[in-house]
Amino acid sequence: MRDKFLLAKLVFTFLLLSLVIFSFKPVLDIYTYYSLFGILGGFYFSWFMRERSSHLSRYLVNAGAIVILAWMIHALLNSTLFYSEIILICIKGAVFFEVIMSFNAADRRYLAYSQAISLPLFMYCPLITGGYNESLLISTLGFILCWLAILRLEFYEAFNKPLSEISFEHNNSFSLLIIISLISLVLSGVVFFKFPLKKVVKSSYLESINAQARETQLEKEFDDSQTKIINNINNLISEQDFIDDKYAILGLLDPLIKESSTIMEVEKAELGLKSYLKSPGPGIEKGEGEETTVILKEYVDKKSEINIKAAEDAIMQNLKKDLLNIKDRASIAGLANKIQNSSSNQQVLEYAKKLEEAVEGSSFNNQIKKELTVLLNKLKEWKIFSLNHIGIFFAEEKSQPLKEEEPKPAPAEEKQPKKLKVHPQKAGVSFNIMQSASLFNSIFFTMLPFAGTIILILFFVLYFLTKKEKMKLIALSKDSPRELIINLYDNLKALLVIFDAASEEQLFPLLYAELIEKKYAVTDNSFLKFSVKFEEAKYSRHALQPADAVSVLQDYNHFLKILFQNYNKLSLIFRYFVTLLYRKPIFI
Amino acid sequence: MLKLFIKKWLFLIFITLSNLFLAIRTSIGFFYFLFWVFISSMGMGFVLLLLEYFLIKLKIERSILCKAEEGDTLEIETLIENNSFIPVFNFVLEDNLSCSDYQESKQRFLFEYLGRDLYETAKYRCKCPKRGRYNIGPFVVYFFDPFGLFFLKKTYKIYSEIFVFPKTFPIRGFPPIRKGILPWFGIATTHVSGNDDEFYGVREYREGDPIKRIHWISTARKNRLIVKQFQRQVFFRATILFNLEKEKNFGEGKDSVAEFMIRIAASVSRYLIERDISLDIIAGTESAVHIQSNRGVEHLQDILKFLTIAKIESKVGLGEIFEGFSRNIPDDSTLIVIMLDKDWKYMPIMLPLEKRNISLIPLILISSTFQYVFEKKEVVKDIRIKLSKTFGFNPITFSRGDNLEEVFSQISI
Repeated sequence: MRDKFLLAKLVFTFLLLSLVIFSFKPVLDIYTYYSLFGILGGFYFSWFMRERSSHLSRYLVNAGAIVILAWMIHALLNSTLFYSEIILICIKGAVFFEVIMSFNAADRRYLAYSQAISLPLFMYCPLITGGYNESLLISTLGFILCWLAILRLEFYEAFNKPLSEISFEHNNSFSLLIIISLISLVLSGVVFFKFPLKKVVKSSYLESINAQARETQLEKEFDDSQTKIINNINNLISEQDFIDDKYAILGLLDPLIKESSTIMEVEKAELGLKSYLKSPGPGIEKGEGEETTVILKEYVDKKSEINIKAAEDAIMQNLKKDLLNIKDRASIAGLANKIQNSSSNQQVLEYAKKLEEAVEGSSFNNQIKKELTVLLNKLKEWKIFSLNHIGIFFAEEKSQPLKEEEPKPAPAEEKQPKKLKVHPQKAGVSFNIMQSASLFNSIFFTMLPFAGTIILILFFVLYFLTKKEKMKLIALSKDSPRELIINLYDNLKALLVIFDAASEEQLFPLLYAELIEKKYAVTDNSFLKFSVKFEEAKYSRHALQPADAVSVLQDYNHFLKILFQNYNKLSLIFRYFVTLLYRKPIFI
Repeated sequence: MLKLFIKKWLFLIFITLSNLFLAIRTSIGFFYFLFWVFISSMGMGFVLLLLEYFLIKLKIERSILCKAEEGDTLEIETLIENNSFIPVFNFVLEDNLSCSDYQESKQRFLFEYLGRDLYETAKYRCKCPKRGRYNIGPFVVYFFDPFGLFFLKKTYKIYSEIFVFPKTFPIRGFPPIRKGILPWFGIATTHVSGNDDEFYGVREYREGDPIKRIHWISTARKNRLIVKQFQRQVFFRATILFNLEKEKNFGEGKDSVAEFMIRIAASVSRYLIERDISLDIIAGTESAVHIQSNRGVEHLQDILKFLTIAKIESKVGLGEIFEGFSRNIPDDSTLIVIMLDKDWKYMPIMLPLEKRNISLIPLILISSTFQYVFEKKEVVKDIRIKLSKTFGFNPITFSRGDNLEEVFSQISI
């Protein structure tokens, strides 16, 4: 019995972990499949080792867990100590724990730990997958179903109920579990929308959960705009008549695209190039010049972002020189991150001051402090430049339509993307949350009809299956009245079980009929007559006529009518659904 | 039961609160939604649980034998019927079997569904390893939520009394018992007399005399009803004396001195009563007890019941018990003393019983074998030699680990 339970739990735990691991595919990358095969292998190993002494496997698993813990500590010390990175390390560590623990899953405690870890892991799925989508919805439903199965198995095992005794066909308890789960899901959805969560803008937990992806995107955009700028400026140079102008433009382009250029050089280059682009000359049409100006502005924005990021990375690298000074590292990294995410000069200056104080008050050596101060200044200056540059650009954008064309009333939908475009920094934190929340809402709204559709489909499937049973019985009335009467009696007995009037095994049909008639006050003896006919059909050998079948059907339907009078409508509706579940037709 | 589920509860509460905390701190809808999923599932479960707890009326009946012997397996059958108007889901019936070992003392049965007016039966068994009077019960019903995580407990105070008698063993050899004579045993007791009774005389019929005792010849001769009278010519009487001293109860569990004494007393009692010997019991337990002379199955039951509940709490010595009850030991009988070798000092005060035609059968437990582990053969041999030299008889000795049946079978009759 224990083996059967173990096998069933291993299967469901594997499904559970597969769902979780697949959800983390973007983070785990190639390790997704390694982890899954590892867990499968682990379960296989532990299943075959379940009878033998498990000391060795327990020691190995414990040793493996210690190694993973050591790796996690090492990775955390070498990280930027941002929440995002910490969470990612923890997720990876937890998945590796799952793999290692699967090798001793025959031990109930280890299996329980595996199952328990899967829950907090799954909670973080939407953060990693970058929002809410259909696959998450399916994973969630699958996850809940797996957990329901595991809980049920645990429940049976706790009270030594053999799996062989459990019937899933007529299991009222299991039906109740499914119904309660569905109601809970709907109820939680209703409460979720009725009392929505207040949006918190000030949050730094997950702002850079997809930092790596964003960085790659930024670098790509930067490279693209750099290529465009070089091409456009090359065109501009080639069309210049005077060699001095050509050299002057080249002189401006050089500090602009140079990696180590200072803010002043970049600013000067941008202004200089703008002045060339604004005065239409040969080869540069009016439209092209404006387009190049926009690309130039975007390029400078990207360049300042890249420099901010570079300064921040350099700060992190310096912090890593003293790995064990976690407290100072965390506070300085946090402040640097705040500077990066600031939306005004005032905020930048405020955080920069705090950062200076934190660096001064830290226990780093002087060399690190000196380097940190230099980098801090660089970060601060680039950030202020970036904010100012966005401000200028924003002002120019605003003034542009006033000068050149009549103001158009912009549709409400168009305003939103524009805002997002001009405030990429500010949107850093809240964008992810707002997007997640709205996406989640939409997913939930799609989930409700989805659940409703499933219930409807289920209802119709059961309804037609029951209808099929009914047709079978009707068909018997012509071909074999004897079989009809016997089957009809069995059907009625099953219905009476649903109506809480089950027959005891030893009770004779006529005695049972008397009891039922007394219980439901059946005065015309329809059930008794039916039972007499049933006994005749079952135990006699003489031929029964279709007329017998007709009279039995009349008695049957009449008795059911009387039976239903004893119940209220709500109870009848509930019982009707139960009859559908058991595919027992009512009136024939 | 709490131990079984407390970890799950704590984990669930931790996860639920974590979701709430993360939702508030991060405004991420998924955490908030999961929080409500947990809350609504638990809430729905609790609502159903409360409905079941307050509305369900269960009728529980236990069928059990009221007697068993140490080591016997007791068969129990419990019927549970749902007398309420709603069905009950996921409940566990627990019976507390105090007569059983700790591991087996709680028998639990899971019932997934019990419809209205329906019943289920649970058949189970338990081993009764230790003598005593036990109250089996109460029944505890745990109502579980549909997820099988939370429960509410209801106690049904239904008890069944059971006596677990001490284990007896067959005795194949026993020293001879001294024969006694009753001067007048009266007509009222003749119905229990055996072949050894002798005709005593005749007398006039009195109301209540059995008709089969009418002496028809004398009746015809005297023209009035005359009945026969008998005198009990051969009559065996014996007294078992033992003292369950707490301080001298060496050894542990079944291998302790007191348990050995009780087992020997129970088996000897059975042996003697089955041979129609009238038996007295004088015992020191928490108080001194004298069970007066009688015979028959009911008397044996009384003795066994006493031995079942006898507590090892005597605060007086064997000598004091003997002195207090020596006049109750009938003349022309046999005294069987179950004692420790350490109680030899009381032997001289028992020897004068010979004057009253009372023979003495000492059954001696070697205390050192219960206290220490060593080669017991030598010790037993020494003690036997000492006793036979001092008192002039060869005692029956018992030491720890002995097969008691074998010890008695080695006695030459």
